[in-house]
Amino acid sequence: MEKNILIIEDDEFFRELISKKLLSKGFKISEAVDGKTGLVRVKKSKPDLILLDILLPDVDGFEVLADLKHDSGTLSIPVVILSNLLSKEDVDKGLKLGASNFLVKSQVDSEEIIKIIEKALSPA
Amino acid sequence: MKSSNEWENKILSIVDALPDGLLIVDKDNKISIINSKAEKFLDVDRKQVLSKPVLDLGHLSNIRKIIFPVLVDFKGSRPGGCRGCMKKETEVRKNFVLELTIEPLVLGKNNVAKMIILRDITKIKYARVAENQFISVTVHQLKAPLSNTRLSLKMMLDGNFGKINKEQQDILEKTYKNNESLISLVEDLLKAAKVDEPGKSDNRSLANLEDLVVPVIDFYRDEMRRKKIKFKFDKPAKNPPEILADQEKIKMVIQNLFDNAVKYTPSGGKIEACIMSKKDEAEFKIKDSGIGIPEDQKEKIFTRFSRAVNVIGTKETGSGLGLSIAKEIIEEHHGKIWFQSKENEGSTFFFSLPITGK
Repeated sequence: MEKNILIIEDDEFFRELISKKLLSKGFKISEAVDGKTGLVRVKKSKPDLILLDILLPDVDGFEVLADLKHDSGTLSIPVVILSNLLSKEDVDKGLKLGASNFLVKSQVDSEEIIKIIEKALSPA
Repeated sequence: MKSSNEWENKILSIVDALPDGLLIVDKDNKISIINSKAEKFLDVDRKQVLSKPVLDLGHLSNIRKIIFPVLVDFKGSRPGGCRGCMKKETEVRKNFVLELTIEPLVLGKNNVAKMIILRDITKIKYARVAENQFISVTVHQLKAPLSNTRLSLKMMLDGNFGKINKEQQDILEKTYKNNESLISLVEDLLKAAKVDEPGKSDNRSLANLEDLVVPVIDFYRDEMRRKKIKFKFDKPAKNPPEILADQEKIKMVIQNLFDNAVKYTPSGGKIEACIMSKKDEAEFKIKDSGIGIPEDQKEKIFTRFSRAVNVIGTKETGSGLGLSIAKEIIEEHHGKIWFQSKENEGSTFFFSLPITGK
């Protein structure tokens, strides 16, 4: 069955690139351009995995993540952070809030992103 | 026979007119000289403090808050040069930051006093805060398009958007490499702005210096192998020195020093790293057989954006921030950083940090 991935990302170009890659690998995708819309979408469509940016308008990625991990309906959805932030404090914060991985946009390529998504989707 | 007294008075007048605060603590830990600026900075009257043991002045809050800590931290008994001195910044109150420099002052055999210079660095400090905020905001704005460019170029190179010919591949690879240099520049800028972020809580814990050095060596092993660099690492056989450190920051220093050594050492060259346990400090040194630093560039090698002229023409890119970041971090940990270098022969960089409990 095709896995559904929700991309919460305000950068249009980055969304376009990563969507293309995911579609080419057979994933189904949906998109949200800010944290608030992202939360609504997660609760409505229950994606199999969320790719989450941190610096988002209105509600930032950390708040989105905290909200998802406090809700029993969304708690088990794996969240992979994909952000331009790279300090240890930010990475620790994301992982402590429950993200499966914290990827730095300037340090990963699309193949690595796919591998990490596939690993996060595979049953433990 | 007025000369001796006259000279003494002249010198005291000069000391009193200095734009910085000056305090001399004699070998018996009594305050023997205090000038007007120091009186003002510490909010004391010289009659209250002159010839009194510093430890009896705990009722004067600024002596207790500002002078006690530097005297406790100060271990330098080696006079002269930077190796014997210690610097410390203190935020006395909101909008008033003092830099204290304490240095041994040899007045005779078995008579070593301490000279404390107090400098008001409030303006410099706040200018730097504004500069760092500007850098942080600008760099974050730059990072998004650079990351996007990186991802799109890599996807093109990987054939995600169709086949590319040899010439296109060559151009894309060069563009990718240029973009990588820009990313590393902005990431260095972010690190530099972060290092002296005001009020940043310090994450210090006990660490074994070897545990901080080894991961960095592992990170550079492939690159050293690729460049056929002979590498040697020496460390104490037992009891590796323990330091109280923000481990991530000290790793950043070691990484910056390794990065320079690997970058500027030609293929087939030599790099030696070494950890030493000295009397009251742990010392790290890294020696390379690289291009070295020209004599006239040595003075500014630790200043921001400084790159020696002989590296600018090389294919190696750099922001000129690595060593200034390293210096700030080491001094923040009450340590010292220095180097020896000869152009075309190589450089050796050292840092030392106080060993815990000594």
